[in-house]
Amino acid sequence: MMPKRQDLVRLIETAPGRLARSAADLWRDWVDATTWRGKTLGVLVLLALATLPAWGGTPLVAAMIAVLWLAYAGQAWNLLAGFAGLFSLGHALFIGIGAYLAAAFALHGGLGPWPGALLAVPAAALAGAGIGALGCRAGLKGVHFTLVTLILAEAVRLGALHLDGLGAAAGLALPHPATAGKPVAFYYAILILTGLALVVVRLLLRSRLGYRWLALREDPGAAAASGIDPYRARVAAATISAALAAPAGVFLALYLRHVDAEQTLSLSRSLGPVLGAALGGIGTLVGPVLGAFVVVPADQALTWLIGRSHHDLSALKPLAAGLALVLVAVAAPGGLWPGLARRLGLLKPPPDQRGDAA
Amino acid sequence: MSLAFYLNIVMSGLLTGLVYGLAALGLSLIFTVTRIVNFAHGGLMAFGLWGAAALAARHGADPLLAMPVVAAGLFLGGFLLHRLLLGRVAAAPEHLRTLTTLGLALILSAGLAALPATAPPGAAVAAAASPTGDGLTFGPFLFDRIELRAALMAGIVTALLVLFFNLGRTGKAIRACADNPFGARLVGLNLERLQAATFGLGAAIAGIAGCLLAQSDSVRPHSASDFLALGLIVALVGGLGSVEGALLGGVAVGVAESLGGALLAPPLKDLAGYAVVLLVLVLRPQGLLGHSE
Repeated sequence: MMPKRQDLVRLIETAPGRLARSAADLWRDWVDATTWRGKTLGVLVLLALATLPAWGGTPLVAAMIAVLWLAYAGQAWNLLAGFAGLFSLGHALFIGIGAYLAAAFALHGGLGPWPGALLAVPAAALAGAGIGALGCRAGLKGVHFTLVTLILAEAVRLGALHLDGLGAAAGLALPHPATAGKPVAFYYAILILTGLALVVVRLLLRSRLGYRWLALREDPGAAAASGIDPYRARVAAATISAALAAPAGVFLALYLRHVDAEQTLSLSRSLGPVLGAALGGIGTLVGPVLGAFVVVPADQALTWLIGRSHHDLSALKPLAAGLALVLVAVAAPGGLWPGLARRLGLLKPPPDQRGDAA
Repeated sequence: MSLAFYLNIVMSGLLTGLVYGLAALGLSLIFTVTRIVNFAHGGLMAFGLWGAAALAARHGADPLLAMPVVAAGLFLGGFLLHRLLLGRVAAAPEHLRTLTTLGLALILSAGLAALPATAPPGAAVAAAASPTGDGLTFGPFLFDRIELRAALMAGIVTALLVLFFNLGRTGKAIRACADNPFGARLVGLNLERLQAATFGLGAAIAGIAGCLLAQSDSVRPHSASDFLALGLIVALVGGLGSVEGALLGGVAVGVAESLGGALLAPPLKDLAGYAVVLLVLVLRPQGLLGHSE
């Protein structure tokens, strides 16, 4: 089950070249798939994102950090739910592993948060593999995986709430180093991470493993009959998705300078990427990004409204999120992206079934 | 410590476990018949709890007397919810069904947060349960009367459900829908209506479990998600989709929690149920009485 050592070494040696090629492929996909209108809009968005700190104020940069963070986390979740067909309700666990490791090393190791940040990815991958192994065994119903992720994330939240080493209920507060009050560095860090996630997911989708996931998602029986081992492919998906989610947690710890069980490990932390990706479009590369651009501004508008009102309107947030999920499921199962792309004429009509590249 | 001490702890866990079993029963029932995992189940339980506490507070009555009202209300609500909303996604891919009940869970939690707080149950319940204020001794056992009442009620409701599904025409029809939806439709059963009725029944059972918990609990901010996690743990331990499994799982989790609370540090009590479910997932992934596909 474990990958062989020489395979891992080869994977790491060839990674930069593959990522560069995948980035070029992503670019070509985009050029091929979009109309002139889509190309113009895309270039404008990219330019705006690249230059944002030059013309946007600090509040806008902070808001965009939240947007890009959710886009990144949504991408990690969507890899599993949208492409491998495994709906996770426990990504807070993988995010939490990253956040707690970075915070613990920043406080105790004397080496700063970076060893923790490096450890976070393999640690989360291991957790993902374990959860995948428990939730995807042969003979279990598909929804089993969802329940296992939810329950294990809750168990870890309760554990962190009681463990003094993890700060118990108060959590861990990081010291304020030189990066404090410099959102621009964080902005570019999360922008690059989000771009990198797109490239990585694109690479995986066009790999042997990615095609196995799509086959399993569409028809598990037929996929198994044609020689795909569902268990191995699914555990691999859970492992990779968890590894992708860990840097989101590291970022959270370093940016917010505070990690606690309620903030980092709660079910609502897991629901964030679900909401973003579902609104944007589950199973598309653009979906999680688009969804984040809808969810975060809506969330901040509600925060503003709740803060201004004399009544206690805090129930508005779960209400809006719940209504959005129900509406997507009933009225727009593909999310906003397919309809938006068609309405605005952003994509060329596919000459053949282009798949999920757009 | 003496044997009687352990016996009493196990007995207390058994009694609580019957209520836990009821909490998971509704979840399992809905999943078996409609293939929907009802993530709003915890919210429905919390709603039942709130309803019982509010009725009891207003009329100065025992929360258990509110049970029929709460159950009827939640049955109607669940039935309509399935007819108007969930029935539309019944044939949709699994992730859309999950999104729908997740959305419902969030909407319910918003509703719960907006409800006026109820006074914690206290004197009224204690007086109704035990007019003389003492426990009930039976041989080496010392029963907590509130626990005993809840367990008795849970037992009665479970027994009625078993009778309904084995002897009643509607119960048999619902089982037919679970076994073979296509065949059920072929012999003239109204699948949509029976599925909606099942969802209503599951909601009503959640509400009854909430009423039983109302004797010793009130709605807190995390109630809905805590109840959901509890129901899912019990259902997974017993085997998702197995009615007997839900009861066995409830008892297993109840006993584990009460042993964990007595022998280990109190905060670990909450984690005992999670330890049981982890053990079951490793050793018998389909659950104690579950079937693999």
